[in-house]
Amino acid sequence: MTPGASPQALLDVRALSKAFGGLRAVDAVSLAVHEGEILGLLGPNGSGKTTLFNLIAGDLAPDAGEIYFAGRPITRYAPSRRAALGIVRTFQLVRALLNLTVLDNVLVARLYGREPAPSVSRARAEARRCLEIAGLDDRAGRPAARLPLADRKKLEIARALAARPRLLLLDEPAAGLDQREVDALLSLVRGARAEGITLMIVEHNMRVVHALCDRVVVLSAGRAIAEGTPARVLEHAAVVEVYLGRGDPPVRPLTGPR
Amino acid sequence: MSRRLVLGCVAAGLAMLPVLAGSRPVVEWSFLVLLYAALAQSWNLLGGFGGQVNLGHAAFFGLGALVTRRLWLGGLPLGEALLAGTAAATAMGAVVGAPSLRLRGPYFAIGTLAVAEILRITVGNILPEVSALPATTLAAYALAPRYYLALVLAGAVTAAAWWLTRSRFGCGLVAAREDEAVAESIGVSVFRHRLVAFVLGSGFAGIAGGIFAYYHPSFYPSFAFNPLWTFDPLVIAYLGGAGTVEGPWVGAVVYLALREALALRLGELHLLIFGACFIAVVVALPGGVVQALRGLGGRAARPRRAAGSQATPV
Amino acid sequence: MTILAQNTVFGLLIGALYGLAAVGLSLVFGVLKMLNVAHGELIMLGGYVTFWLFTLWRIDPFLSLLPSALALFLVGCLLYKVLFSRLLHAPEETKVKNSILIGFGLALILQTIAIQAWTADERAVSPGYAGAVLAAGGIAVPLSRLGALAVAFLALGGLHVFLHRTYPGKAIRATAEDVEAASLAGIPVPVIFLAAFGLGSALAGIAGTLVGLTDAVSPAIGLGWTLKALIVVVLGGLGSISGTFVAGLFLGVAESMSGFFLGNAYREIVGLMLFLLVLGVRPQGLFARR
Repeated sequence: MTPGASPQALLDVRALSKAFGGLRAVDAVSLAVHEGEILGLLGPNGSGKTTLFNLIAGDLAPDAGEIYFAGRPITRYAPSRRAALGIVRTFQLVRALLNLTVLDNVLVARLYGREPAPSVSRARAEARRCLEIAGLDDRAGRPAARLPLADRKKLEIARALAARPRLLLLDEPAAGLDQREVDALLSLVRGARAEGITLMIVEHNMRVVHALCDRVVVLSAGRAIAEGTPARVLEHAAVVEVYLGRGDPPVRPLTGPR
Repeated sequence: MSRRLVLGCVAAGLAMLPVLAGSRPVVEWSFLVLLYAALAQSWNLLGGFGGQVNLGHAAFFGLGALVTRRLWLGGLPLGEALLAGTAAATAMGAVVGAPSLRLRGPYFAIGTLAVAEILRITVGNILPEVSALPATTLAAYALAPRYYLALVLAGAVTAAAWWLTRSRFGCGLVAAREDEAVAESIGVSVFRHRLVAFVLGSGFAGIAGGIFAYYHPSFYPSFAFNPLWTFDPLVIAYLGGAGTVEGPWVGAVVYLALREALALRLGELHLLIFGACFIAVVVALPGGVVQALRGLGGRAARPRRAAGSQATPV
Repeated sequence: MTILAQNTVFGLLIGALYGLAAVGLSLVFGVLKMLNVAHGELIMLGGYVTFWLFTLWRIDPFLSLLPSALALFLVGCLLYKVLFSRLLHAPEETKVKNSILIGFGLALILQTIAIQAWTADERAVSPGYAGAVLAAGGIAVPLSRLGALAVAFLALGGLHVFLHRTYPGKAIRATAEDVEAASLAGIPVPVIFLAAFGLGSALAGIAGTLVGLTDAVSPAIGLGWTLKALIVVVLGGLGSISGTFVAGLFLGVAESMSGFFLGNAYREIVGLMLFLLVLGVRPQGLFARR
């Protein structure tokens, strides 16, 4: 992995570090995400994946390193400013504007983000379409607090998509979902990619990783230790060791997306 | 459209009140309702819709009152004096809000409380004399213009609150109240939204103070900074329903009616009852009276922001 | 030069009280993540305990420290049980916000009760040594204020030893650090919360006694003391107990100096300026280690 830029990289992370007390959660990580690709971020719990997400989305400030987005240095931008440029994230433990309706949750995202709708009424119409795509249109009037987990995960993605991201960061989107719900998720993500959205995904579900990712980066103890196509990387000795240490089978048989 | 009809009638009634009401106490009481509704609504812009507790609303009310009173009695036309008072309150809002709203945690509440108390003490030190209207002004004193000023202000602040329920900015402000991280993640600048709502509310509170200065025959300058000018609007907003357009109106009527009734029988002790009511509302009934009534009507499930928008009664 | 030194000494004397007033507030915030803005009213109650013990039975203010602390400890436990414990399970932002609102209502209630019970008059205790002054090198130090300084130092030293050397103290610090970990380690977190609130209130009681000794007590003094405590807590770093006392002394001296240079009418403004400056430049506090 060469640190530094290839000119086409949409997101370019250079030697990013973040420590909490003595713990180096992210340790000089460099990586690039190219326009149109889906990059998977793998590694055991505590390896720094979510911290890296938080740094890229702007929820944390790095101790060292730089972040470039579409060639622009954004290391010191607030999350909202990054969202306006097109970096939008979802949360590992799903979050929503709980007292607002499902529709209003998406409506706000349509009013802000990149390319905000010109008016509230237009935004509302477009937010409804977002809910249709996510399969939530029949729950539009419910308060978000009353959705079951699977629907909240859908809402999380629908809200992020409504902000019209160029780069979408999904933090464990498949966690807690059953087979059928995972299928729905896969088609939602594929739809997003078909619209030209670049994605970065943290995921433990290997089926999802194989089905979606063009390329994966493996983190261990805050460092990027491997990179490549999912199939290749998961054969890599160091990766097997990282995962064996956790007791998981390194590679699961690839099953079809549907 | 019966709602519009009702609103129209209320607005017309309020506009005609000084003409129709025979007795001065009625007009006086209505003036106070308008002033308190306006003050509570101005607190509500950030406190209710934005969810940030401003414990120093008195500072902005007091600054508006102080500046307006001194300039007006100093010979400036009332309009210009009011404008200057509003500007002072707005500027102070920006000075306090900019550093304290940027941070998470209780910094904003502490900052606003500090500015109000310190201004009160300082103004009390520097201007210990009571400020009384000169005899010529008193001789020409009429309640009606004061009443109409308060009516216009209450209408304007309510219009601002109503705008929050249906504008992009209002959506962003409410989103920031519900979850800062989520709001930021979709592009809402939490800090900027809160600052704008706060500065706007401070400016409105300044006008309310200016109208009070125009209304009151004699008061100590530090009285306009009394913490009660924070406490009353807070109680009113919470009683009626923080984060709703109609809450401050309902709250102001209930509060002033209760105060009238209680203060007569209990004197100072009525503050104890209001304090207890306030705590009870915060702990048990965070939606206030408005939402409780809605709940009785079977509409409790509707979220606050989307639940009915009410037009300004101007 | 002597006047400057005199002002510094007065600043330190009053600053020690600011620090003591703030430490209780800071302790409660650090452990419970709740901000009790009725803290000043608890100080006011402590002042009345001392006033009445002295007025009715001629009990020396220094002897009333213990009953005052004890009484306020109980009051604090009661307030916590009835009101603040209801917020325990709220999300952090809501917890801070609602604790502030409850405290604000509580302040009004306690103040009204005090007016009803004891009138709005200012009260002061005047033991035999009230006017005594210790003079050295042209600097005069009122004896009672010096005693108050000593008590403040002792109380904070005692608190430090308690928090760092004893098991319950360590449990309180562990809970402040990480509630879940503390709970997993077998620390009875609900008891710790109650104890921390009671202890914070007891510190307010001690501060109140010293206020009663060196200054006047009236039902209206609460908000002023809350304000001083809040500013000190922010200057010292929210939740940092060690930084708080230093910040109290600092504010005391800063006020005293500005009173000297700008005139007494403007001395309060300095606290506000410091506060806004610290928020803008160093929000973690002037004297916090982090």
